[in-house]
Amino acid sequence: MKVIIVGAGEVGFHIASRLALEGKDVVVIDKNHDAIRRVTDNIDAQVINGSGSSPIVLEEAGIKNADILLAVTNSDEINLVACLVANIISPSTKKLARIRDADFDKYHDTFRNHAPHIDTVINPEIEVVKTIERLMTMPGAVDVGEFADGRIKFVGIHLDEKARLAGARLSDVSAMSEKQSPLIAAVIRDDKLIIPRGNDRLMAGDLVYFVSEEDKVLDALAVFDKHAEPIRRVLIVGAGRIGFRLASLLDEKSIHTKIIEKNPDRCAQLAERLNKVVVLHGDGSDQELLNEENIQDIDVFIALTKNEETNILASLLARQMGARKTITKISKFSYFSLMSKIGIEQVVSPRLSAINSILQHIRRGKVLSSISIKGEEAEFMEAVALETSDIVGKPLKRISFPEGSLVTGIMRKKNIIIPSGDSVIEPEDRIIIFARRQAISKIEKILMVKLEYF
Amino acid sequence: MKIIDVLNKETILPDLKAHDKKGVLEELVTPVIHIAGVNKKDLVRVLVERERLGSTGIGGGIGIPHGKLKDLESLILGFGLSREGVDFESMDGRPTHIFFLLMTPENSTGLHLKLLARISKILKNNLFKEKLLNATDSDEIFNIIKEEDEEF
Repeated sequence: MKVIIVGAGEVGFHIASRLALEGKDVVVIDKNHDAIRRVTDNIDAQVINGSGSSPIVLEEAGIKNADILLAVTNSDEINLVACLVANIISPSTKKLARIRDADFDKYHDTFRNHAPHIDTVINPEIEVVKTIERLMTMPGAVDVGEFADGRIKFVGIHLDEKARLAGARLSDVSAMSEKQSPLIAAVIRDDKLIIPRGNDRLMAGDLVYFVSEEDKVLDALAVFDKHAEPIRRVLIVGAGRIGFRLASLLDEKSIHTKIIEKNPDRCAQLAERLNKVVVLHGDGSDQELLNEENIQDIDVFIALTKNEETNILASLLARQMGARKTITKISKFSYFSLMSKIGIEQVVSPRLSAINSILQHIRRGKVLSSISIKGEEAEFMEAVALETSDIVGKPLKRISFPEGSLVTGIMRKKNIIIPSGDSVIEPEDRIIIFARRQAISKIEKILMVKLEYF
Repeated sequence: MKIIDVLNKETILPDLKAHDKKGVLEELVTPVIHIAGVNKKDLVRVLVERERLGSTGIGGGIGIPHGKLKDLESLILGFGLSREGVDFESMDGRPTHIFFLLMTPENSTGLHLKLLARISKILKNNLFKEKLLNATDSDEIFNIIKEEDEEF
């Protein structure tokens, strides 16, 4: 499989390195010498120094033979033109583009159905706002993702010392849960991913990932001693595109929302476009301002400025001053592992969201979505089990799953089945598989169809 | 059903030029689109999508790309030879030389499966494969297939 990536920024670089590791044929195009050098130094990929919107550069990159074109520069316009040019030279290449400007929101379908025929428009900001909304409503969750149009969720939580389950064996979890016991897929302990078995114990401080049906998530969280508290007051710092999207959403839901922004012009703009949201002009990391705005009564503090260091510090400050919960926007991946150590639990990243929406298109077999968990050590994949593939027609225990993988859910029409070794997957079932990175290519193989599939 | 009943001389390509999967698919469909009166882009897209679910390169130098298409009136068969061989992501990881392209209408019944079975069956014959690989033009290829087809 050949993939051309236009733009070697954080997203382009990351996708390129993942695909190169999986043995795919990757070409990276960027104008910037430093960005190109970073690719050649770290990744086994072909590079071209030039503009990704140029037909000559795209031809040189081999667009005619490419399966997928990924346009992920930081400019919407360049991404659009790159797709337009690719559509002319090589119409059958699948095109994915990152387009962030909200003005384009209504035109995503038009871009798909008419030239430039972009198969998937990725707007990481929409995804991030969704993630923030999910994190807000789930007590204690540090990572949340969803499948099957939201009917199944996976949730990552830190196990508190006082929690009943701290020290419990996995096999005892169901006896200790009042209602339904959550299906625990993975544990991250000291930055290491563990797929626990019945005899393994959960420890305080573990980041525990479990899968649950939507309407039972709160019950499952209660098993981990995380209880829902209503959200009444929200304070947002930074009125960029994400800040504005989030504020409008909270506005509609009638949650008391305040938003702090440094730029007075932007403040005026927002005040005009938002209804009940209070727009404040000032610095979100200013202790006095936070005090004035009664930070101690805030249920969720969300730092979304362009500057991630500011976001981290503002969140720490807010937490210390009594905000009940903080959510912090981070872009640099190298900061992720630091966050829980300095006490920042809930982190969102538009780039990670972009990568997740791109990955599903690159996976083989009929993969509907694929979401990396923290640290990218493993993925949750949602796929359709196709006729003639190895996964259908026999009990799970008789299928040779690679080490480090687990089927965590089966959806048959409207029903959700939490599988056991005797469960049999039928064609057209939707399945959710959790897999370590090393196991992914083997999982892809299991999902693949035989020759007889039409 | 006989292969020869559906194989048209015009859709036989004795010397494929492309070096990669997508290029070969584009080349294989080119003579087919005139006969079938379908859009090339749609056709290639169907084939590429099918390959994504699992390669039709079954090993032994053989690839049988296939798919279903809505606007097709009847089943269509194409053939191509690549002298150099192509990386078709086949199961044995070796280059692919012999290609049968099979397109069927969306509502087609079991017929296409029978044809697929027949194609994979005659390709088990190594002597036949050898002859195909050494053929020079479409007439010769047509006759070799015809001869083998009548054996059954």
